[in-house]
Amino acid sequence: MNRRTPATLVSTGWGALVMAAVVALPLGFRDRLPGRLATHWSGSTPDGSSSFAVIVAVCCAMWAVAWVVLVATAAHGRVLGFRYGRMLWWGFLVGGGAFCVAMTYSLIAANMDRSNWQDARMVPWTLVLALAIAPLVGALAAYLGRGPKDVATPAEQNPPTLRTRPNQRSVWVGRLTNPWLVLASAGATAVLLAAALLAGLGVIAAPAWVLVVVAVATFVPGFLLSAVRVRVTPGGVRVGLGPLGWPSRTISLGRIEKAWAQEARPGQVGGWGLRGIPGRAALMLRAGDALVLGYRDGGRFLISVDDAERGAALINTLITDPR
Amino acid sequence: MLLTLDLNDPRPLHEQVAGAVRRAVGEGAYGPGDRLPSARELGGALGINANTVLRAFRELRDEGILEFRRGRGVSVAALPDGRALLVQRTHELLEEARRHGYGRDDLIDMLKELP
Repeated sequence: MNRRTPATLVSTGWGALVMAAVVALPLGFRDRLPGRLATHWSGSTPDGSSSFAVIVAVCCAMWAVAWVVLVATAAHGRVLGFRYGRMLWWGFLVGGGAFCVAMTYSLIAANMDRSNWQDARMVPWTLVLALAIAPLVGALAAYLGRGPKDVATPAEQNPPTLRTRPNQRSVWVGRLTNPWLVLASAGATAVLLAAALLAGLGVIAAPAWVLVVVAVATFVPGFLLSAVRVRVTPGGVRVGLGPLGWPSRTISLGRIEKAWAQEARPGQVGGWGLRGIPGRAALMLRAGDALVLGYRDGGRFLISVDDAERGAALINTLITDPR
Repeated sequence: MLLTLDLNDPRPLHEQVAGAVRRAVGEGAYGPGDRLPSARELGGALGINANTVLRAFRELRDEGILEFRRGRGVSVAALPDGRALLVQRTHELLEEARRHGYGRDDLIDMLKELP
């Protein structure tokens, strides 16, 4: 919680600084810009333009929305309470601000000293600024803001085990379905298919096949990540995706050092679905009970599933006493 | 759902599975209304036929512990009562006693000796 105060101070100062730059850049160069500014290019010729006021407003709104979301997550969420969350937060705050300034500047630079917007040309190095330098700055901020290592939860330090007797065979089967994710993916797919139908009939101007492809691309991951099945047997831990439990992956017990159960929220791992950075993967379907596999190589795999404590206990028992 | 089968248990497999499911439900892993893993899933994990698991499920439905709903699979209807769980544990106690060379009467004597 003590990390919240510097985060609030810096984010307020940084937010104001970025906002000032986004407003000051266009205003400062106002007399060297044409009346309308080119905002969109196809190839090297501009094909879209906006008035000066609209551009300033859009640039400001872009940053304002991002900034408000970041400040709100820091104030109300637990995102600053763990290292991965802090890295994401600082990365997006600083990198996002730098990106907004760089994009505003590249727009100004393209239109600078042109008599009208049709003559505007993108200045390549300003794009490098936005697409390469800004992410680098964000990555640096993420590194600097990473803070202390996460402390191990009590369950992690003291993983659960089972009492077993010889000649027993124990298995654990855990499952979880999030109906909201099913609904969201089905809803998005239905809208896209309806749009594809309208496009096919010529009601809206868009290529129908593209919409169909997008609909399938929305449905498949949504369907697969709406449910999970975990099976713990002496043969390993099998994690199956989707209501059919397919595709699945089996993790051999030899790779696992220990397993434990913990409460996990989507904010901790970066959202719903298959998440994470290498060595910190997560299959997040809802806030609540989750099974965590700690690998021997130091990596972790978090799976949100009901009744995780018993699953973890069986894994730990099978690791020490394989049958 | 944690299921444990005893490889030396002479009872028919479906009875053992029913016992394992009854105990899992009795331990509070699943509450009334919760959906159980499918018979195929449990059978696959235990390495036994799904029909054996289904037979166990039907026994538990007849006991009033599980209910079958069309399209929603098998879910918990009510937690097993104390007696059903006690009968189960007694059964396991008897098995254990037999492994150590004690019979039913020895167990009864031991129970009587308890304060």
